[in-house]
Amino acid sequence: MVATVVVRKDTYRDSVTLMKISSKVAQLKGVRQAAVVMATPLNKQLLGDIGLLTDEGERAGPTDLVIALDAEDESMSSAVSEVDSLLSAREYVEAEEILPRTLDSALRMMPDANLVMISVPGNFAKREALRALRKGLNVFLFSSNVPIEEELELKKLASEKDLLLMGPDCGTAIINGVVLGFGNIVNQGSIGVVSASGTGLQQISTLIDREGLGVSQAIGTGGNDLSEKVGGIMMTKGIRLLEQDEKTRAIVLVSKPPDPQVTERILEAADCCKKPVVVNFIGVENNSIGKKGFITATTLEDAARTVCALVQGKRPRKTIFDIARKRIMSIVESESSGLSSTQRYVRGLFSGGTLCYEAVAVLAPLIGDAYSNTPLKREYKLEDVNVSKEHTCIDMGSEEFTVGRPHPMIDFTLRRRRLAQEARDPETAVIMLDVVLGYGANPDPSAELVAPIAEAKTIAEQDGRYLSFVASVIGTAKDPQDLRRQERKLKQAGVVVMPSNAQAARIAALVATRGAIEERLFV
Amino acid sequence: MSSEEKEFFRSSMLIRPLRLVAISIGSIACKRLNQERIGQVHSVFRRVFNVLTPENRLICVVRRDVQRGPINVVTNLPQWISMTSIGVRENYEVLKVGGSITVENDVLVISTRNAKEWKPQKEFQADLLTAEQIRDNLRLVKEAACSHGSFSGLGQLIECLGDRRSARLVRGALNPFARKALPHISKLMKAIREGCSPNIRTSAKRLIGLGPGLTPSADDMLSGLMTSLAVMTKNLGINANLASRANKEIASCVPGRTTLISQEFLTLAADGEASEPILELIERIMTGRPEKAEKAAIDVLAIGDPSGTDVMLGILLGSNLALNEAIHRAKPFKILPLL
Repeated sequence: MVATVVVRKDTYRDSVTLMKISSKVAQLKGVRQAAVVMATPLNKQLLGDIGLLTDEGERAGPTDLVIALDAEDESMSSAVSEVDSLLSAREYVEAEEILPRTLDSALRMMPDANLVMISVPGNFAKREALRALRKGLNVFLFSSNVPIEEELELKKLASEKDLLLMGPDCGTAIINGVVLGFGNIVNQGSIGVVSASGTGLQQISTLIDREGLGVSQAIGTGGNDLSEKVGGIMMTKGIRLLEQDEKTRAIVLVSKPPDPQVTERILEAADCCKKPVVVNFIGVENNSIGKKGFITATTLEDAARTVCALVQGKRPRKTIFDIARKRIMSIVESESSGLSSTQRYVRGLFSGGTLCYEAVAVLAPLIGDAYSNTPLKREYKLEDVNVSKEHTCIDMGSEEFTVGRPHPMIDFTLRRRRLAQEARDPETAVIMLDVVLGYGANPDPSAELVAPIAEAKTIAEQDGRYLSFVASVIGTAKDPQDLRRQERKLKQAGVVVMPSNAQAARIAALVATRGAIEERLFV
Repeated sequence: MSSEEKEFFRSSMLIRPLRLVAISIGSIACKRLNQERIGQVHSVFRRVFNVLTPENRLICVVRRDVQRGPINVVTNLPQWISMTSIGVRENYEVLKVGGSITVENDVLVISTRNAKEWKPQKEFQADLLTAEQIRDNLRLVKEAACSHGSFSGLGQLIECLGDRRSARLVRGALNPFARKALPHISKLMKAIREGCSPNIRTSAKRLIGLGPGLTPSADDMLSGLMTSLAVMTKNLGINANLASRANKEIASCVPGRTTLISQEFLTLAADGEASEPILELIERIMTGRPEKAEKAAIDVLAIGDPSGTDVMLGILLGSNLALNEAIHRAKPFKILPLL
């Protein structure tokens, strides 16, 4: 660690400005930690505790401002000069943003608004959502940890008032072309999506975009909507709304397995809908639903391609891989030839919960059930999420990893650590990753992964093993991070990049089995 | 502010002096202004410039959008004009000339002739609510802080007030300042309840000057705590020693441990002096309808990031403590957990 302290003698900036500078410095490239504080004895002691106090900082007094940085060697000098310019820029401190603090003041600023996005701690979400619904506003409720009884109460009220209540824990939606929460920039078009899964919605909308079509509306319902208690209130409402929406020509429904009774209710609503509906309940045996005449899809990719085919008046096609079998098997040969006899397992490290669940569902018929914190079967639940066992897929966006930390789509710290851990395990054959782009996600996720992947490969090499990496990037060329650029970086780091999460899981299974499941897969 | 306006106010060479009118002056500022040489400009921010008197005390000259306070001189400068753009610089001389305050050879002249002195009533006129109603108001205020506050300082601790389970749960998720402060706040509250002066001082020393901001977060929290203790004990008619001893001991630890501006606010708070939104919130908690208390809470949160939320933490701690003390005196009861 390199610590540097910049001391500005007798320098005063108001608290708001200090917070802005602090947050700006923390985001500079190569800066691991930053603190901008007045040099009071206790603040200096705190800096000392975290290893950020230098002699110069020690000499500073309570009227001095200290900026303590822990940064990569090569980034330190540019970080220090950036700090200097931020502190010198008088204009910076004059900039004043006027942000509303309450729903009422926000409505005074924008009286025509008809949707409110709420992101407050879960304990307080109900109160804010109730206020919004009572004012006749649709709600996008980003907050998580809202008790299910409160969710039910909110959704009943929304339903009575003919309003949408997306969430709680709703990560993504696209309403009238506006992306809410984490989401990708996709074409506008004629396909409506109702999804109980944020990353599921992202995967489907980006794949629709890649097919050259677009999304009319994408409604998030929150992960609990299809539970027995909530009963799919918002998914059924979403179906009705999309049926009435003139732009929408076909609809996709996405969820992890719903409660059986709720499944019936949803299918009933889909049956009444005058527009074609594709049902994608990941991990559910589709035969029963298919027999009732519904169009089903096993994976998110299948769902996207099926609905695109419907809109284009084509026959839906099931895809195993986008590239020819021969080419796939040549990749598998090249990735598996360096594996040692101990390397037998797939280890998936996911930032998207549904992507993790889908990978488990895709892997199960090919190589058997994977252990997970979101397993298909209860007996495959990992006892300790920090230790992998045989085939393992981890949702690193789940609560046990995110308390007090940003989501792994933003902060790669835990994934980086876990990569090295999996690399040290002689049983790991393939590490599977998802990389999610779009609003809210890390500005350059592939760059975050390049060095840890190289390090992981080196760890394995030093032990006489080859470590295979497989990834899929969820995004579009229009996203701020640029899909092609992100894919290129991963490929240059030696990662096999597949066009979808399902295809990534299939090739991971092929590599781990040295191609032994080829016949089963391609049949 | 348009670039033209900005240019106008910057070019104090062209139009001198810039004339402002003081609308209200805090009672303590009134006393400090009562001398020919008021002092020197100490620091200049967007909404305020501070004047340091020869006695090492501060006077805050503020824009119209800043509320009244014991050492505030509220002027008619509109909120879209920054104090940093009107030509006032650090170390400029500030004098009292006739009925005006003048800054450095007439860069700025502030007329004080028609200013009203602000001297808030600390004994509330309205009837006090019942203990249960006050608790309901405190709950609402806490919810408002959790929904609308800023959590880069000690504000994270508000969520676990009165909930030990929650405190344990969030401990791992706290920022370094809140994590460091938490045990010392708990000890401070215990020491205040027990009236143990040495322990009050020990804990105060471990808090004063801790945290981000020009007025470090723990100082803001202590300001809220001392003000609410002083005002609430007075109005609840309970043992005034509880507040006076605690505030005196905390104030005795302030010199040399924090910034000058923070020292000033802590010293004032020890006497129950604070700005209008803070006093109003305390009054609303004790006498107002829930919606009024909630609105007053939003005004305190708007004091600044993260200062408003940190002050709020102190107010909630002090109010709970004073209320518990009042109930305890009326009838022995189990003290509700604060942290």
